[in-house]
Amino acid sequence: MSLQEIVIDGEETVDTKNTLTSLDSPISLKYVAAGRIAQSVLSYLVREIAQRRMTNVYDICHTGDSLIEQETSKIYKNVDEKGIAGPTTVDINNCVQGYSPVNRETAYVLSNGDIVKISLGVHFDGYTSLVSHTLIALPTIAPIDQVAPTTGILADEICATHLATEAVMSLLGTVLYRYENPSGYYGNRPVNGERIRDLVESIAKTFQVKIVPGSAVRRVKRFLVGQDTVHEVDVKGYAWGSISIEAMTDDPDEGDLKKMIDTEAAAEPGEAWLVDIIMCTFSGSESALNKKNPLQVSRRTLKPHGDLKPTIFTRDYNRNLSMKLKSARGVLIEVDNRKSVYPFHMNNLSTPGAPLGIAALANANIVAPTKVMMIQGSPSPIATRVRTTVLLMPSAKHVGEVVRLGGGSIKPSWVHSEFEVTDEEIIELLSEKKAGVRVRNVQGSDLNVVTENGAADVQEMEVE
Amino acid sequence: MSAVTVSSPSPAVIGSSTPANAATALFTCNSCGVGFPTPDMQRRHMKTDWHRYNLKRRVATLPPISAEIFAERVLQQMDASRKNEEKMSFVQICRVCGNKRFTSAGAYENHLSSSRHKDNLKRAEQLGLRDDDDAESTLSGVRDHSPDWSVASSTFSLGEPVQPQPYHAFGFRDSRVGGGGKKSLRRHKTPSSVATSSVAGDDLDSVIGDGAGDFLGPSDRGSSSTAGDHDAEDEDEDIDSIIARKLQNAVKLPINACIFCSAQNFGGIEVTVAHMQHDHGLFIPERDYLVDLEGLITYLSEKVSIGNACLYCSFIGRSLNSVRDHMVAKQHCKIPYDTEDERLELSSFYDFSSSYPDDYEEEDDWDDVASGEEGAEEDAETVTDVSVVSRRRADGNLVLDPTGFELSLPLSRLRIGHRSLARYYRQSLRPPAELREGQGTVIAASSRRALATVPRDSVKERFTKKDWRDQRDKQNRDIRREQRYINQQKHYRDPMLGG
Repeated sequence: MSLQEIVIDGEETVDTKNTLTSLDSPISLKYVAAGRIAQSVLSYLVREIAQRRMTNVYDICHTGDSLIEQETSKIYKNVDEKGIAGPTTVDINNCVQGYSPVNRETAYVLSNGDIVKISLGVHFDGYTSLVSHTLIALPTIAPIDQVAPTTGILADEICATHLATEAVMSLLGTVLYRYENPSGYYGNRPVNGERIRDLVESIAKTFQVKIVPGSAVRRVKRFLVGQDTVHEVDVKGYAWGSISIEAMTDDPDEGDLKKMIDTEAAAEPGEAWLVDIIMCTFSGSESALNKKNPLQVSRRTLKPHGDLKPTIFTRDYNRNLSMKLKSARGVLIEVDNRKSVYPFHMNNLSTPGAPLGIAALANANIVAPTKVMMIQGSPSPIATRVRTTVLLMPSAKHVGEVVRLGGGSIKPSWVHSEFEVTDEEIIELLSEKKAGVRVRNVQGSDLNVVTENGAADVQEMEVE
Repeated sequence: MSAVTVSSPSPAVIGSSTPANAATALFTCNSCGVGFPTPDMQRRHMKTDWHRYNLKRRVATLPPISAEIFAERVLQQMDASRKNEEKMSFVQICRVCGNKRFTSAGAYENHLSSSRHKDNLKRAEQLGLRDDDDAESTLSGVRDHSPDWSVASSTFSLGEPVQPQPYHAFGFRDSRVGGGGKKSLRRHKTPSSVATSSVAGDDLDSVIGDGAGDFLGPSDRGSSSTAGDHDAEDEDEDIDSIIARKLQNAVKLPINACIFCSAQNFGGIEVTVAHMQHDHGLFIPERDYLVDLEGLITYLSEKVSIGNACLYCSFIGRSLNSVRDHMVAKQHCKIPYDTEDERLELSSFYDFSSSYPDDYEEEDDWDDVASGEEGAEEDAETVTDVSVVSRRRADGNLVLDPTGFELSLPLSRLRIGHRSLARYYRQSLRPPAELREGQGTVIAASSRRALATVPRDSVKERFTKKDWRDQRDKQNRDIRREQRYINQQKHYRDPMLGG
């Protein structure tokens, strides 16, 4: 009976609750608020890592989560569902997702030259901003002191990931002036999953790197941002492979996510899109590559780590069982009381015996673990990841703009690649004009947690 | 790839034009999105045209429509069809020949001069059926759709078994008359011709609102003639004259004559019944409760001899012999006793009062009842048939629910359960979980997965079938080869026994 109400509500959701009309609408404001917090926390963590004040991964993750909780509790007090949309994870080198340790003692400590990927997510009322950023942990105190850029295959990879993200954002932005400028270079073609795939794979080919399964450029909706427990059916965009748990056992070339995603449907103004690009240096054998797409690493190569147990879980609300184990029951009650459809970290549980309970729940598929995924190869490959959420914001007066929720104004590490983009179409997307697309970055605010700068002043958004 | 979208309403759950009703009721119809307090109402709802229409819409993945809109559409449709009929320049219907329809003048004239038409005309005049089809159809229309009628007519089932009058022979149920080609016999007001259900389907609230005194209202109203009867008043006279004519022509079967064959002069009614049971397979249902065997047999024999109607189907013969032949040939020498209508037709010959539960009269078996003068209202019970389960007493504001295990006090909204179910009332069930918006969205998105149709891959299917065929052929070939060598040894050894 509750579902009925929800679906009645869902009728509205199609028209109103997932469509952005202007930057002043309540939905956009919630998105921007989530993006602002995500950006603040991310930039704070990046600064702390770059200045080597934090080296223990446990500290980083813990600080990130508590900062998100703290900042989200300050605003939108009448909104019940808000907070962490993705616990902070710090994935190092060949790790792709899911590393957020439970103990400080056994946690990984960053060392010089590590590739660090920070991922986190914030949501207000289901309007989500997921961000990831890649940086190189450098031996020097501050990045300013760095004398020369990083070069080599690592630089190629970081370049490829960042440029692919930028290009995809520009490509998505072209839908905003499609109808006003039909004779333009981009104006007359719809932007769909196929075009996005071609663009990203072309960049990956240029920089001679491989795309990791799990990368996705897809439309997100309220509460639905590609959780493992949800099987959406009409998702627009493209997803490379799939690293969902069920798909791991299936044929590696036909992941669940890939089947569900509609690569033909075109992006429309007023939608929110997730751009999640993961690339890796991979020099393994040919058989470890996906046969259908040689630019993509086979999912057999991407494996959950044997020793690292998952610490992040998502409640699957389609499954309900009564558990025998007392701690499992306790954990389930606690999780259900929290009522979040987003992943949560094990450390946030207060029930005694939570690890035991959560393992039982995971066995019964009541919660779905986010496994710690590693890419395997003989010279250990290194993965980079850039993830951001963008709003394709139409405008009544002039051409609309792309609003980037988080990750925009953090500069990537200083790298220099010897490869060069030659495709004219991509060059136009990446140029200063960005093919005529206006991109606006949500700016974060300074956080007053550890720094003693006084109250955090919220900056206005700036047009870049 | 799939036509189903995450956020578009699913046909299974959208139909909540009355969500509160559907959400609170125990018995629901998912196609129409309505709820019912009793399973009986739900079952009756399933038979309505509205429900069928919504079912078809659901197959076509359209959202259901509410009853009001459906009624409007039906009216529109009727309007349209009537106009259509008016538009047609020439329509002639020959009622005598089974409502045959002619759209051209030539065809109609040809038909009028045909020998079949003349035969039919002659027969119809014999039977006296000419133009009362209209009255019949309007009457049945009222009966089908108006709840007033059904409530009113249910009161006829009250009272003692009545000695059957001669014209009882014409007390056919509507279903039969409607199903048959000849609509000569009109349903008459007799105790045995009552054919409706009880008031079980009524809304509880209306009962409560009326109170005990008012509850008798429908019965009183029903005992006077209803609107349908007023309309058909003049046809009644026609029919009375037809009946009189038929009675004159009819062959009267004595009580000790067999209904199905020409055997006569049995020693008594018991012997007659024994003959019919033994030779013709007649089974008299519910012998234990039958109080008026003679009445029943008289009723049946008059139905056959005067009405020339088959007992079991809607066949109406030309004469007694023809209907006898029909019944014997078709093995219709039996009394229909399956549906409620059929039972009510014969209910006046039965007395089921001994089968009522004992505690029906008693008051002290209830856990917690304050007021006690319920026995006085016993006569207010409108239903005496055994097949009707639900009974309710209206005593001020005390209402017994249709299952008979719960008393509800509508003023205080308390419900009193029966002692025998105490263990179920004692258990404290967890209240249904209230979903948050996010959970609902997630569940709604996931549940669409089951509804999404997977497109068939014809190429893949062909290869699969080919694989199966190859495998089967290979097996067959192996078996054939094996059999060729199976008995080459000098002394046959059964391979099952081993070496």
